[in-house]
Amino acid sequence: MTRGLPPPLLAALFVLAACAPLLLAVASGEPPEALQAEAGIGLGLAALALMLLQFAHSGRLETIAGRIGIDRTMRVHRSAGIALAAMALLHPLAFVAPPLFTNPELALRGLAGMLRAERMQSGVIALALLLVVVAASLARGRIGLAYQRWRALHAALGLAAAAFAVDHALRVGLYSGSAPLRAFWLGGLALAGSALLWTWAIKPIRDARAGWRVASVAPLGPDYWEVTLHRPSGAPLSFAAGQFAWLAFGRRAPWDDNPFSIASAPGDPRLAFVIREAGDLTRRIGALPLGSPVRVDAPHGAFVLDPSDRRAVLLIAGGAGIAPILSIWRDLAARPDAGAVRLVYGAWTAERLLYRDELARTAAERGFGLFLRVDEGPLCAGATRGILDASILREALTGLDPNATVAMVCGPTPMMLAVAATLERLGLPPEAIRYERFDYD
Amino acid sequence: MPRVERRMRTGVRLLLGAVWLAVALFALRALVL
Repeated sequence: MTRGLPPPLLAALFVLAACAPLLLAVASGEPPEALQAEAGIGLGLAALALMLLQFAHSGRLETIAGRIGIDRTMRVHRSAGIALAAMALLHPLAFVAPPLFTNPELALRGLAGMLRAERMQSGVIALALLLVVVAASLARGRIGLAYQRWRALHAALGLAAAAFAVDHALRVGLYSGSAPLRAFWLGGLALAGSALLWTWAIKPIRDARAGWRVASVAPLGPDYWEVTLHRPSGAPLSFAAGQFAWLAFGRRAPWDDNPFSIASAPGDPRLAFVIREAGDLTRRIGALPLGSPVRVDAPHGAFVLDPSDRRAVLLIAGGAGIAPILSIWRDLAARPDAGAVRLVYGAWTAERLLYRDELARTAAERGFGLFLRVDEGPLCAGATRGILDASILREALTGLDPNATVAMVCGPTPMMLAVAATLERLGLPPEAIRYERFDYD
Repeated sequence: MPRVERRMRTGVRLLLGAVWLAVALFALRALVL
């Protein structure tokens, strides 16, 4: 299990790597051109550096995402993608900037002439590919592009754009002719290609060979299934409670997998998952043959408790968000030294409150607090009606010091954001509120 | 929006803001040198 680099070091490395071509250009000793040309060059250098850095942000490299979590990693990936597309668009415009305001027709003619030149071809292709990649990512939901298909396209077109852009820099770049900057671009492109090769070829083969098989499939409630996996070697997966796995049921393409939180506790030889019937894949879950192979890429995610943290633990789950929360609950239940633990768990209907008997049993045995909420339909034992609002959260925090409590929240994104805001109002410090969104729009 | 979310977004803006600033400083060399 890799824990990843600490956030301040990652931030420093990110800025340093993004600015390295600018520094190398300055160090080349070439005298600067006119202001607009230098602006154009600077935008191009930074855009290409950011583009190459994007390949480290796939979310699959635990050295990057292990500590900061998938949310921050993908947020940087998304924002950097938009920023680098803006820089790449401004890059050619900067060269014709002065007449753009005084004589736009002349500027546009100059720009068209520049872009038509044969030596500019790779740059134009790189820019076009980049714009397609960014636009398709931002509009994926609206144009109905399936997640797996989009992911494969995103990686392939992204690498092609980076390769054409590096060719463009080496062909026409004023500073990129210097040996250090040339080495930086070629080395960066090689690293970007290696990151993709690792994620989409080497790692999937290794993960498929790990030998995980479907051990059981059982209905948990309306729309919900529990799937457990085991491997004949019997070695448990090393992970921390709250982490997730990318699963591919059967023999599937490397990019054809989905993230699921692990619901079992670390040390359990079987990996358990709570799967809700929603998309194409999850609708077929009930028909999964026992013993069929599963590719498991795990563990991932930073939704974990620090074992040395002595604060009280408030667990909050909504709907399918119970999976990682259950793993943490089970892990805490197995620890004789666990402090105060409270669980607030809400679902649409009572039969969608999963693992009720186990939760009630553990709560009684270990003295953990259990607060169940049902939105609609008949209530069940121990449940009250309503959503996960301030009243139930206040009740769950009774007797706890909000400043010495850490909250782990999992559920639909609007619920997590609302719960996080409520917890802040109830006195929890922002850094003590943890959640993973898995959506980046 | 919770503060924890706003902090994350601010952190990302600062990272990318540093890169934009570096580009601006790079271009401004032309006026100084």
